[in-house]
Amino acid sequence: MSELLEVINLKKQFALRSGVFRRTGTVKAVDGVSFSISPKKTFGLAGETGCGKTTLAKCILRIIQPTSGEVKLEGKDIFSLKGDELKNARRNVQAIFQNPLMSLDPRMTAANLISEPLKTHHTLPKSKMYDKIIELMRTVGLDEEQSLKYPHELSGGQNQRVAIARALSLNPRLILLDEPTSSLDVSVQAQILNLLTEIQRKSGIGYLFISHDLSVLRYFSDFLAIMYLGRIIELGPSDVVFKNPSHPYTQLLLSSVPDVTLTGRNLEVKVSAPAEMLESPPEKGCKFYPRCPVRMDKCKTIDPILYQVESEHHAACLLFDNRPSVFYPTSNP
Amino acid sequence: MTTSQSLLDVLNLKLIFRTVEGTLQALDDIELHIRRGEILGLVGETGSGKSVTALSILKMIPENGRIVEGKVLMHGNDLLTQNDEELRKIRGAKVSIVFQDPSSSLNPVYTIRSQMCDMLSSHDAQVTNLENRLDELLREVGFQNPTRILDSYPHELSGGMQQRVALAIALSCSPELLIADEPTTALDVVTQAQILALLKRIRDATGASILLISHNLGVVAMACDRVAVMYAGSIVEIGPTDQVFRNPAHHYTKGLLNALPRMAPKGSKLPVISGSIPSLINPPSGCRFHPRCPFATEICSNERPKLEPYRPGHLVACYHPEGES
Repeated sequence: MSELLEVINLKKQFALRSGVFRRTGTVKAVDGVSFSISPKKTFGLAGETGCGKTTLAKCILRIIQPTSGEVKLEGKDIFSLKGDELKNARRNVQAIFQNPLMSLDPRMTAANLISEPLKTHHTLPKSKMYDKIIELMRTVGLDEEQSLKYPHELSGGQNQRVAIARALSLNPRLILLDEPTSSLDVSVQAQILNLLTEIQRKSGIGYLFISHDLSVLRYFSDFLAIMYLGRIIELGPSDVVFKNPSHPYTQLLLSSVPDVTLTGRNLEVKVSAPAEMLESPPEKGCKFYPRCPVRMDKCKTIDPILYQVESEHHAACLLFDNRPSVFYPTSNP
Repeated sequence: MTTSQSLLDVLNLKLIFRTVEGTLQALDDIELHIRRGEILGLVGETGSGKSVTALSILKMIPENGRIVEGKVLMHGNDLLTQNDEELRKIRGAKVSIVFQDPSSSLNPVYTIRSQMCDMLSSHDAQVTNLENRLDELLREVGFQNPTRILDSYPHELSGGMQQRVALAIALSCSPELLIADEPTTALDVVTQAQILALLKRIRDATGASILLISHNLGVVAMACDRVAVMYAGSIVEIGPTDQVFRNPAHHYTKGLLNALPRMAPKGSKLPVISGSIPSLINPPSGCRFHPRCPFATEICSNERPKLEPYRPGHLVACYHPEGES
């Protein structure tokens, strides 16, 4: 297979406890997610708080062990790797997080932060280290003189550049971007997005871009998945999903995105979700049922799987249950 | 110019902060007229002075800050000259604030009921039937089942519900001005759209003015009648929202709108504003935006532009506004 990353039926459940070690239930944070990322492409992942985006990212980074399912990096299951193979896999997948001030060690200078992965993985002789650091800093648009600065002396955008340089230092195949621009201002966000585009064009890195900002995803991703309560409910080429959102949840989400062209538009019509979110999702049937504006009786009992809307475009909604279903959709069939 | 229709006028407001590195000129000559029953948006990037403008209105600036000049007029009174006792009667009653993070503005150890009663009793609100009033307030912000909410603690509610409660508390004394400082930044898009719709509904129902502060241009576009754009401690452009966003006059506003990824085709380069936000300890001379402005000429670096009429109701502080050569 030529896929860079494959996620197959991944599940992660957390036990809910109350009192001392008394199990009261489970939270299905990720509930059977499958997708794949092609090399040099950007896979966007969107969804509201608590839908399992970050848990999914943590499983892919092997920070947490999933309950079941597989994550394959270039064909190899990352959970069965050991020793040197695991170390290599770790090198090939890097991550950049939302708040660089929290993900960068405040007691390390920019140069130290950027060289830390190089030292850990012994990929470079010491004599070449300095040149490599300067090269990386140039790539991400930082000056040489900033190499001795600490995170608190740099701006949010500059810190995010340090985080990007750090992630690039090991020539990874895949970078996981978890809300990389959410804490930045609009003008800085544009700079960082330009930088990420440029890096991908030059080095062919694949991105998994997690964001709740749909306008950023529309601009940035090739393929898009929308998550709702641990499931992918819609999946397809990004422009197709934006043009023809098929799941009622995607439609709700897209209609709620604030846009500068929407001045004076009446908001009331668009927001159909009940004011109070449910404390617990329904046990049976479609999880979106209680909020769904077009729900049918059968949605109460049948849990939808992904149905094909168009060739590469899938939605988990019974509106499409006359179409062929897929267990494991791929981005290049 | 104070017009009869304005509820609150901020005139020539100048605020400084004393810091270790020197005096920081946080606000420079802010002039803002909030009209009755309007939703005015205040938009700008981090550090542009949006929040301190709002806090100055209620004289709630941090200890190292000092208002060196200016007035905040409401009903003919300058709020800045009033003493703490007088201000206490205004804060929360005539002018109330909702902040970004509802989980930190609500007290975690008290029930919603006691926090709402607290607000009413501290302003000696004349309430004949307390239970009814609480019920009514919570229904106003969109709760179907107020009794359950009243007996809850903040942690039992979701972020959106907490923000609704914060709004209900802010509205409990029927304020004439509601300041909402990034009220939806901590919330999801769907919840955000609901809260924005709620703000509009509140305005329509109570006739209160709302000052909505946000860094998100889309949020301001969706909710506000007028918008003021701030840059480095001053207002650079103010006007009806659709006019400002459709035909921005200031090059900074234009740059911001262009930097949004919404219209750009996939893989294209987003136009960015060159340079970065200036230090306010040593702000650039003249127009504070001139070092980053592609249209700057000599006058821009020497003299500070004032807000001048650009189109009806649309003012801009720029010597070379868009569309003029």
